[in-house]
Amino acid sequence: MDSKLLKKEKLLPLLDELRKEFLLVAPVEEDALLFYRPVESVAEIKLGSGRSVVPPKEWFFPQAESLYRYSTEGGGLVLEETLAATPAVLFGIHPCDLRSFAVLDAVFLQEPVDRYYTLRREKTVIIGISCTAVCPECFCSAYGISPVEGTGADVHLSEVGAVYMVEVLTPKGKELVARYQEFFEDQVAGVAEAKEARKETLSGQFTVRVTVDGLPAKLGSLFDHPYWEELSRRCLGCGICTYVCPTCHCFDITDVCRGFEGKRFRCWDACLFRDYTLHTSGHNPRHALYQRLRNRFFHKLKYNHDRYAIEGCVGCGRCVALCPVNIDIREVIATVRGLGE
Amino acid sequence: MKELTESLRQEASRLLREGVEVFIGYAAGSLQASARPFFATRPEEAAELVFNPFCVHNLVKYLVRFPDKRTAVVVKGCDGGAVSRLAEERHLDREKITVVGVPCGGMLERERVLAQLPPATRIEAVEERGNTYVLHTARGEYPFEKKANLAAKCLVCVRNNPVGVDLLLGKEAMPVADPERDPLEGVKAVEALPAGEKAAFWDRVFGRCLRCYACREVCPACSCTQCAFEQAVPGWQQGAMWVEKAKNLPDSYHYHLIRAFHVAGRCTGCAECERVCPVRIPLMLLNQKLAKEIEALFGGAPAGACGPLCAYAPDDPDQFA
Amino acid sequence: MPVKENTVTNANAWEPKIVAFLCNWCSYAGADLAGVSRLKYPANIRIIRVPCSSRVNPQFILRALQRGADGVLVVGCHPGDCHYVTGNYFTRRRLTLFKSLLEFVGFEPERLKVRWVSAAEAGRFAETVKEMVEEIKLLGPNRRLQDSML
Ligand code: SF4
Ligand code: SF4
Ligand code: SF4
Ligand code: SF4
Repeated sequence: MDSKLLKKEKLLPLLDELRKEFLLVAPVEEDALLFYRPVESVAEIKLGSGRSVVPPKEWFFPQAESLYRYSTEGGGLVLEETLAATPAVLFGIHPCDLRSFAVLDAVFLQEPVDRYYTLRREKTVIIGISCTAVCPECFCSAYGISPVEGTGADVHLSEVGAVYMVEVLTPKGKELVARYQEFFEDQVAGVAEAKEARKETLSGQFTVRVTVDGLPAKLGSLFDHPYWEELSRRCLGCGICTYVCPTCHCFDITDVCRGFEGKRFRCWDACLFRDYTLHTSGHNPRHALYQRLRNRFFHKLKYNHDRYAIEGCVGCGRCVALCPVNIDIREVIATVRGLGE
Repeated sequence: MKELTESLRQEASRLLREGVEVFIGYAAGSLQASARPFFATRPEEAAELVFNPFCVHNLVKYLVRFPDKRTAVVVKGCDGGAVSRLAEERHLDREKITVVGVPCGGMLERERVLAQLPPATRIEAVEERGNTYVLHTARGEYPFEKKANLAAKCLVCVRNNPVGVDLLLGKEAMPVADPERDPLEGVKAVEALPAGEKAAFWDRVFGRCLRCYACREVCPACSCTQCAFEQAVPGWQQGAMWVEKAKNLPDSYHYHLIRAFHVAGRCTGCAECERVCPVRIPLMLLNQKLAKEIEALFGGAPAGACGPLCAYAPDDPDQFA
Repeated sequence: MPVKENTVTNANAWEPKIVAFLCNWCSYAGADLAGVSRLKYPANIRIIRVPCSSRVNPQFILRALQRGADGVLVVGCHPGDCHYVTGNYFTRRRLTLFKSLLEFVGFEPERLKVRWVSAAEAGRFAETVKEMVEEIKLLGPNRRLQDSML
C-alpha cells in the first residue's frame, strides 16, 4: 500500500480539478441534513461532516432508476436501453459506508451480475474519509470496522493535524493519485502513528459496546420467540429503517405505461411495508407486523451472513438515530444474545 | 416529574389488575434524552412506565391495533383530541378504553438538549421548576429554559391540561405558550413568498421525501384501513395506484397534497407527522395552512362527524358563482 | 388513456389542454346545448362526464395535471340545484380549500377552475371555456406537476 500526504488547503483545489474530469458526488448540506449529491462547485461540499441521512448506496443503487424504455406503437415491440453511467468520483465516504459497498457487492455482483449496479461501480472512484468523532448511535466496531479504516475505498483520507494522510488502496486509486500527483506530497514520519493514535481515541468513544459473536446461530433458534411480537408493538411499519440503511437492497420492479410507450423501473422496497410479500392471490405470508419486523432483523443479523458470509449490518447507526419509536438494533442484538431458547 | 411518574405507575398497575389488558404509556428510551412507547400487559410491568419531557409521541394511534382488548392509554393535552376523533369515526370503541390524562408542561426539543448536554451523560432525573426543566446528571444539573428549548408545537400550545379523559393525574399544568409567538408564523411566512419562491421551497423539501410513509403510519387522523397510496389488498380501488412506488417529484406532490387534504379538518395538531420525518419535511405547514383556511372559510358553521369537509352550509363562501 | 404529449413546434402554436369534469345533470347538458346551439368555444377541452361535481376527487385533478393537462375545469349545478340535493355544497367546500392548498405550494390557482353552469346556460359554458383558455395561454404550459416518469 502506498501512502502520501495531502495538505488540508489542497483538498478543495484537488476536488475542483477532479470535478472537471469526473462527475463529483460529495456530501452537501440541505436544511441542516447531509446528502451525497453531484456538485457543480466545490463550495457546495460540506467538509468534516457527519453521517448522511440517506446512505451513499444511493449512488450505485438509486432509489428509483429506469431499466429500459419500450414502445409498442404500430403493433411491434421496440426496446431501448436507458443504462448510462458517467465516470464519477464519490467523495467523503466513511468507513461504515465503505463496508456497506462490500455488502451490496455480494448481492449485486454475484452471477448473474446486475449490469446497472456494476457499470456505476466500475466507473466510480471512491475516496474514503476517516471519522473524526463517533456519533452516539454508531457501533461499527462490533463488525470489526474501525472509524479510521479505508478498506473499500480506492483512496482514503485521514485527517491528521494540518494534513490528510492519503492511503492509496487499489489500482484505481493509484491511477488517480498518479494523475493528480502535483497535489500530493511524500509521507513523513509520525503521521501514520498519529492516525493509529486517533483510532485508539475514537474506539473509546462508542457509547454502547455491541458483540455479535454467535448471533446468526443463536437467531436460528429464536424464530418463534414471543420477543418479536413484543418488539413490534411499537413499530410503525414505516420505511425509515430500510431506506436509510446502507446495506438494505430490496427493490421492486414496475412499469410505467402511457399509451403505446412505457418505461420499466426499479425502486427501493421495504420489508416493513404491508404489501411487500403480498401475493396476487391475496395471501400474505408476512401478514403481521411482527413477522415483517422479525424479517428485517433476521436479514440484517443472520440471513445475510449465512448466504454471503458477510454481515448485513455495518453499525452505521442510521436506523438507531432515525427510528421514530426507538427500535434500537444494538438493544435487539443484546436482548437476542441474552434470550433463552 | 417523579411524583407524576409514581402516580402513573400506581394507576397503571391498578388498572391492569382491574381488567385492563394493555396499558399504553411511555418507558425510558435507549438513547440519551429519549422515551419510547411502551405496552404494559401485567401489573409488574407498570414499574417501567415514565413521564418526562421526552414523551413526545402521540400514543393514540396504537389503540386501533387492539380492537378487542380493554385498553388504557396515556395522553397529553395535544394527544387527547385524537381519541375522540377516532371514536367519532368509529375506529375505536370508547367504552373499552380508559384514557389517562397527564398535565404537560411542554416537551423538550431533543436536539437542543443534545446540543447542550455533554455526550454520554446519563439523565438521572428531570425536575420541573416553573418555566425551566432541570436535568439532573452525574455531572451536575443542566437547566433548560422552556421558552428556548421546547418543541415548536409546545411553544404555542394552549392544551396543557387534557380534557375528556377518564382519569387525570398530577397537578394542573401552567400554560407554557409564549404569548409573543404567533402559532401561524411559519404559514404566514410561506404565504408571503412570491409564487416562484413558494414553488422552489416546496420543490426542495418534497424533493427529498423518501416516501417511507412514516408520517402516515404515525398519524391518528390517517385512520383509513386501506390507504389510497397502497395496494395492500389486491384490487383495492380497482387496482389503481395513485402514485408510483418509484420516487419522483410530481408523485411526491400528489402524496403530500392529498395526505394533508385527507386529514384536513380532522388533524388534531399533534405534529407527530413532522417529528417522525427522517428528512425533516415541514408537514405541519400544510396541516396548519388547511386548518387556518377552514377556520376562515367555514369557521362558524357546523362540522360533521368527520369534520368540516363532511358538512356544508348553504351560505358557505362561494368563489365559483 | 393518457393525454398525448403537447406538440410544441413554436411558442405560438402551443395550445393548452384542459380536462373538464362536467356533472351529468346540469353542466354536461349545458355543454350539449352549447353544441346544439352552435355556440363557438375553443377546442382545447377534453370532457369527462361525472355523475356529480362532488365525484371529482382532488386526486383526479392532480392526476390530470400530472398526465399532461395544463388546466382542470370542474363544472357543476348551481348550489341548491344539485340532482342529489347537496353534492355540490361539498364540492364547494372541498375545492375552495384545495385551491388554496395549490396556491400555498406555489402552483398557479388559475389552473383549477370551478364554475356552476345549469342545463340552460349554454352561453355561460362557452364563456367559461373561452375565459379559461385565455388564462391558461397567459400562464403557458404546465410543467411543474407534469409526470417525470417517462
Ligand atoms: S423499526 Fe422504526 S423505522 Fe423501522 S419500520 Fe419500525 S418504526 Fe419504522
Ligand atoms: S441495520 Fe441500522 S445500523 Fe445496521 S447498517 Fe442498517 S441502518 Fe446501519
Ligand atoms: S396530520 Fe400530523 S399533526 Fe395532524 S393528526 Fe396527523 S400526525 Fe398529528
Ligand atoms: S415521513 Fe417524511 S420522508 Fe417519509 S413519507 Fe413522510 S414526508 Fe416523506
